[in-house]
Amino acid sequence: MQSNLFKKLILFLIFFSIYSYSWAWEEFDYYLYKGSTGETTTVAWDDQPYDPNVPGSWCPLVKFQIKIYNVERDIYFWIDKAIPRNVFEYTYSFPKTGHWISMIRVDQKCELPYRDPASPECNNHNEVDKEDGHEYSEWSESTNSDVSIVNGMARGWWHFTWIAAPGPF
Amino acid sequence: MSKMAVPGKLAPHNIKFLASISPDVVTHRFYYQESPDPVTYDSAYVSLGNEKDADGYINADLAALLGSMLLDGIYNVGVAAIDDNGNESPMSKANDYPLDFVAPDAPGPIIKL
Repeated sequence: MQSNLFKKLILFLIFFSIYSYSWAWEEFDYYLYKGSTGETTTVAWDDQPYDPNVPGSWCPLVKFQIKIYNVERDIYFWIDKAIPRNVFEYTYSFPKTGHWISMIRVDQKCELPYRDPASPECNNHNEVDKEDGHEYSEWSESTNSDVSIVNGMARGWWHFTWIAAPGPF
Repeated sequence: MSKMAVPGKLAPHNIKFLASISPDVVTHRFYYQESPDPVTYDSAYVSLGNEKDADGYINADLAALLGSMLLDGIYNVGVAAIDDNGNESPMSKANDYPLDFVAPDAPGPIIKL
């Protein structure tokens, strides 16, 4: 009797896991921007204003790490880029099909090649050169109001990409 | 009386289309469905591969690919791209597309005069 119950439980678990997996793609029944893999897409983040207390906000050029995360496949791609502090958008293409979250973080080390010599904060922050490694901020998710307004709110981290159709013949 | 297909030499039927721009595409498919039925992913197809010319086009000779199927009529056709995971793109379609891969009947025997 107990053995039968155990078998039923196992069968139920197997069925449930297959059922859940088969619906994994349909679980995300909304997306904010639809595009194609290989097609260039611009994503943006909120501006990081100058703040004398925030390392990294002093530099004209800042080293960023951009991460695009594919929800269904649980994989992500990294992009390391030095871009001007006040330009918080980046254009790239999504390499696989599915839902993506775009994230960015800044290296707050304010490394020497990116410093503004006229910036007193940079010149007073020489000690960072002696340290190894990086000092990254928290991840920020993209907010591109041009492509993603939901209920009046800019929430642009969901991108859904599918294979691009061939051209007409 | 139905027309009986006979062996013969088929004229080339070349098509070309811009390949999908997606980076993980492994092949393209040419779907065909006799008109007036719409072409769908359940229609018959042949694989066209993913070999592009210098301008990014896929070129194919449908007579070489479909000649043995003895198609002759008006078809609704489409091409789609398939990625390495088996996912399929939207289809680029053309309706009422004529296909003729049936050679005419041979003439009568030669008579020496």
